[in-house]
Amino acid sequence: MFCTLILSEKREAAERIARALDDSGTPKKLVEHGVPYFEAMQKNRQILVVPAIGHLYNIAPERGGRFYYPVFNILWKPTSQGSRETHVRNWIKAISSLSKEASEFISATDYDIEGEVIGYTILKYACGNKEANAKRMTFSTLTMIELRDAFQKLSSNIDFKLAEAGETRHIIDFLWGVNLSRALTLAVKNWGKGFAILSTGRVQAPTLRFLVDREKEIQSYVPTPYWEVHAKARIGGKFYEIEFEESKLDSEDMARKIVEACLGREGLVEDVDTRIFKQSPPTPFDIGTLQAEAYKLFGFTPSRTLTIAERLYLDALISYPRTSSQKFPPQINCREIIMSLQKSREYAAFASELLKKRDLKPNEGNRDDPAHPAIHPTGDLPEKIRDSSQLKIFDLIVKRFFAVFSSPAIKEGIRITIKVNENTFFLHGRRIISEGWLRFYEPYGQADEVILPTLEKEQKITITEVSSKEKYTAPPPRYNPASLLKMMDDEHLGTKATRANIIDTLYQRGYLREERMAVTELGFNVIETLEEYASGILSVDFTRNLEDKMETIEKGGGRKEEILIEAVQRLKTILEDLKNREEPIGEELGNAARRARVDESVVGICPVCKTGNLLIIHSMKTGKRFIGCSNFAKGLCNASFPLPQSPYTVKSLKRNCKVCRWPMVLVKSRKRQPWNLCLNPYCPTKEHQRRV
Amino acid sequence: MKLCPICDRKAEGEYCNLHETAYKNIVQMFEKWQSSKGIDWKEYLGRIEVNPNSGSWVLEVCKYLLSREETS
Ligand SMILES: [Zn+2]
Ligand SMILES: [Zn+2]
Ligand SMILES: [Zn+2]
Repeated sequence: MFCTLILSEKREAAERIARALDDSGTPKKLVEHGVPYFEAMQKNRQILVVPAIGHLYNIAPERGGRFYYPVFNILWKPTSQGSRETHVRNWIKAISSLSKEASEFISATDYDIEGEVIGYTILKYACGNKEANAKRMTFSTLTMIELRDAFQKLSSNIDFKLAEAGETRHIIDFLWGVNLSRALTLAVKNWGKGFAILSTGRVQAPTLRFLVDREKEIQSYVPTPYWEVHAKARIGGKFYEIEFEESKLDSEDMARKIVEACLGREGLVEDVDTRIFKQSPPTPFDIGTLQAEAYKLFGFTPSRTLTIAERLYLDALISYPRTSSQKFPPQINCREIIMSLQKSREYAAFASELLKKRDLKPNEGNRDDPAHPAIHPTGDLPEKIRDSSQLKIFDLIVKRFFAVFSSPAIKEGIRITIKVNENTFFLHGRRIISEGWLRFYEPYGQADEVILPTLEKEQKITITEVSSKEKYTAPPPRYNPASLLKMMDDEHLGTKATRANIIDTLYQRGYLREERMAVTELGFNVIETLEEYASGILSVDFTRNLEDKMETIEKGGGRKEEILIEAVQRLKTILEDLKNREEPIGEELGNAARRARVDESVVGICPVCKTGNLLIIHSMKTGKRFIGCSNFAKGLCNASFPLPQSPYTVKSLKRNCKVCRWPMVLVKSRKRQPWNLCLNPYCPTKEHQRRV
Repeated sequence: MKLCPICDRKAEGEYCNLHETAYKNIVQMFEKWQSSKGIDWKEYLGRIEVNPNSGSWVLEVCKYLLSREETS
């Protein structure tokens, strides 16, 4: 019988494809070398659908150990990462042996740069050079209808341009990452007084530099004083804050004079300015705007939102989330999707209202993606009970989808100008005339109304209070996960698929701390050292330029070889710079790593002796850890406190208990949510625990 | 090699480059404080040392400068 092998990216996707293609809708679940796959039967055709587990092949050095340097000879090798290694090998064996039965090959991995590379490498290396003859099945949702349709409309080739672009990116990122990281690590090693594994990368370094620059601004910020004038007016028995025309005054003297001139005076309405304005519906979600919105509304990190969205995609509830499109091409039957959503009690009312529109036109954004439309619900509804974060993201995507098709909100803005003894004050109001899309997007959109009483020109107003307030300018805010993602997007650092990962890596390497994204001492020093000795690594221009060039391969203009040669030449110059200044680099980074290690163990000022530092100490004798005071060695303080032992991990929090002001540590374990532990055994927050 | 008197990092001039930036900002902003509040240098340092919006390197430089003022 004619046998077709379909390669999919994940198990859930494989099962759905098999279900869509099997004549009876009940494919067989089989196992090969411990790897699950599915068999769908059609009239005279057997279809095997086999999943991958992410990248089964990765770029690796042709030879050499962990510190072999420099690396320029590379090849695709089975992914080797600790415990995953045997797993991957079995997977390759399974696909390999199934491929022997097949006479037709179809790649049905996610249709984007990473998916294309996954398909390409498996077809080439596991199936034995089948990439040239393989077909491509593309889809943006995992619904039965779309999958069947996609199977009817196979492309005769995989997307070679996309695969080439992906391969180029993998090679360049690997060469940069491995060589730069090893050069830094070796510099410290050759310095001879310390050891530290340091890591940096093509996108990682310029990204960290942005964070460092912001941190520098904050840490060297000197606030300056300014004054605000505040006044209150009584209108019809109610009190209203009115704003002085200049929000910031430079001198106390000026502020005082204004207050004196207005005290005890009456206000006079000079002008009532009413303006009607339209607020267009939001644009459809691409992955970046979804991540930013989910962070703003729910506090989800970008990587968490992506994981949840992928889960929803695999369950065919939403379309493919890794998209940069803010458009819905005409092939998508939006009316049908809204009709399906109408079946849900929650969405029925909104759906029916939209369906009354003769012309459903989305308010599309500018960004586009050739492979996928903007993120949208498929019309399928969640069957089983889901965890609340999945429901939140799903609800957000559905309501955004509705809002996009809705009408603009119409608002009225009112500005009342009030003169108080020659000084100008304003009273601002906002009123919603027509809610439009805001109602569909509730509770995610804000109506924020400020209703004002009706006022006439020349009307007199009682001013009840005038005062001035001294304030201080503030430094710029730290990046948060959403604003960092936006900055990376604006600067073309990384791709939509890799950005969230890069942020995670910065945390894992110890360059960032906490949700507020404070740069650590180590992060600072790495960037400072690179800035001084190898600033080429940090060039945003170069990274952006390369990013754009790699995109040209995808679009069919650029050539892999040319771009690789350029990138490698650039890398070699940087590596030479690093080599020539290896000594000072090694010394500075070595010292920085040592300081970082000390810094990591410092928990806070010792509350017993008030001069020493409390440290996390690992006892050589017992192998246990505890908290001790740095003054112990000097014989000045023997404060010590117990800590949870392994499998818990303990980290310095650099924060004090809100109740008793003692230092706290962060305790983490695999099974439980991390928690903050106050070191004070008699802290009032522990009252409850002691009694039990 | 000269070391920063505040943090022991390598110093180009008087301070390391981090504390140098903070120091420059302190000097630069003095004029504004002086004109709006009519205070002298020492009082100024005391004021920014307790301001919650001051950066941590600024605080460190202030502490250092103030301790020098006291001993001189
Ligand atoms: Zn102590
Ligand atoms: Zn406490
Ligand atoms: Zn310093």
